[in-house]
Amino acid sequence: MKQSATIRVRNFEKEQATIDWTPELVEKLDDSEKDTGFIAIESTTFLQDAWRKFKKNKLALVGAGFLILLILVCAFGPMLSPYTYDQIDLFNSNQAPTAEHWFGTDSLGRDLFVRVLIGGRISLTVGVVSALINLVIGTIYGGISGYFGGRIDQIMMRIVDIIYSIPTMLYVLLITMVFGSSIGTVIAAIAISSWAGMARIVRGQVLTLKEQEYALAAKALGANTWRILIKHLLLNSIGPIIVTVTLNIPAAIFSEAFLSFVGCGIAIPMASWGTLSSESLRTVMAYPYQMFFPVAAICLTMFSLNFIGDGFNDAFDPRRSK
Amino acid sequence: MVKYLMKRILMSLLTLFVLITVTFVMVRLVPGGPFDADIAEMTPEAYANLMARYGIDQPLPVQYKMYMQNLFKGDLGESLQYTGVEVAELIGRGLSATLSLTFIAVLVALIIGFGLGIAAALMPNTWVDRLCMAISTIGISLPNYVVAIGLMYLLALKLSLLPVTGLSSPAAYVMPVIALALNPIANLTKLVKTSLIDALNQDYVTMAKSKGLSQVKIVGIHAMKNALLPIVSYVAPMIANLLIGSFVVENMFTIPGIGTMLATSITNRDYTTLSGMIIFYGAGVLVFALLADLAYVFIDPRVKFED
Repeated sequence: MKQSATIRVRNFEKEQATIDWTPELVEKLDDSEKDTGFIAIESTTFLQDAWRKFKKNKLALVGAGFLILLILVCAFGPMLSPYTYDQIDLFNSNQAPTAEHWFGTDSLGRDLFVRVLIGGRISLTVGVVSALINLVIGTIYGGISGYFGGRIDQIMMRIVDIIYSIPTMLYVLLITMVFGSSIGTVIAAIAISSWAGMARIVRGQVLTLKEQEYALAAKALGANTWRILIKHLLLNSIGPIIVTVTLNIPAAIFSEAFLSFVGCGIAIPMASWGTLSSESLRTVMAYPYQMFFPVAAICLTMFSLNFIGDGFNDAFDPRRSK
Repeated sequence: MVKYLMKRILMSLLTLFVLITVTFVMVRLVPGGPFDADIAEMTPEAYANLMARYGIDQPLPVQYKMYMQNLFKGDLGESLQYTGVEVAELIGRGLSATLSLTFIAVLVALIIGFGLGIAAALMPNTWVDRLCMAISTIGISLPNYVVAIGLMYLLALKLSLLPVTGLSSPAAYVMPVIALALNPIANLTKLVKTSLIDALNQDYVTMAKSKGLSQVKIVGIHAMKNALLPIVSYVAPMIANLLIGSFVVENMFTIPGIGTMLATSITNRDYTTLSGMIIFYGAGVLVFALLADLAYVFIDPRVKFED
């Protein structure tokens, strides 16, 4: 507004010699005219743009909301409960859900509500941590392979091919058998055996991006290899990377539950959602609620993560810009 | 093309070799010997004899060499749990159950997946499309054991429509097959839909339409042929996933297949059986991957010119 006002004033100033200049001659612009000279839209960064598109996806938002709620409840819920996850009370075993035990009790009288929350902590930790380790290994490996190309790329990708073509579950099984099934080994086993997919995706991205002009420009300006690789190539592949990480979390939770079902899961008295549901399998006929809650928790988490993954996929894909 | 195939086969063999070596080393690293449970009842001589009988007293490289030589002859060794029973024989016992289950699941997944995908692609943005996509989302989000538990509880325990365990009657196949096939159905539906829509938007489809070809011919012959490429490359991992999935599903429905045996050999610490089963599973998966690649070469003319 100020600008246009001054311009108009200046026009008058030129003619000051002939016109008798009084303040009444300066006309105030009304609101509708304020922005007429302004053409550019507000500039957004890549992430702001992605966030704008993500927000439009209702399912993804609901999923994200549920997941945040779940994380908070799993983190703080057990502290507020009068029971602990390993507190045995044989007089109150196999109880149906009541006011004291919201989800009922298991065959040893342990409170299932607390056990499901503790199970959530473990399942979510396994999912998130192994997806993050996966991300680090996969990104570094794929980045190096794609950036340097040539012989290094060939050898590195042949190794990935080999790892990729043997089913992940077999490695996970072997590793947990050798090193025992504490939460640490389960995470390590899943992370070690599943990074090959991420490495392939990152390598593919880097391979195409490094041919772009801006990468050449960065090189010409004297940026060193690591700066180009990290700042220009990897940060520009962030879309597919985030999508893969989001989808790796449910995959890791799957793997952990799979281990529980074949008897290599998290050791008792700790419990993940997988161990809880496989434990209750034997007594599902008599006490269906013992199975219902952990299974429902897994399903809802899977739905949320998949919705979020889809949301990210749409948000980060420039071809789907609206 | 021959060169490509040779390379591909060599790669598979190398992968198999790595799998065998990793399995061998890992299984030998497992803490606790296979006979530790019975060690109290045995004299040291008996224990030494037992170790010698299975060759476990030898140093690792010697064991490895022996194992590889035997494998080359198709001999997976003898089960530690069931004395005198070859691992290959154990696999043979479970093979028919696992194979029939996986085969039916693959067929069901292909038929339904293609059906839903084509329906969704031909009627985009209608209730049909939305229904197919809803099924697809559910199938992708639900792990197979959750599906199995749900079906078991509803159909077998509450309604008593189907038998809970085993594979003795055709009805017994229903639940394990659904549990196994739901995830591939979901993935296939999505894949068939997107690639068919892509193909339908190509110029040659418009051309076929303007020539007056029927819808069936356009979709079935012209569009489908090109839509098939991305789908074929999904089928190999799909079969691999089904094989691994059968592992859990067999256990849940107590089907006497390889998966159940594998789980039993884990609890029994039956190392020879375990490594035999893992190698067999891995080899099976590799063979399917190889077959899918071969199919790809025949479908996609472009592959022949590579390398």
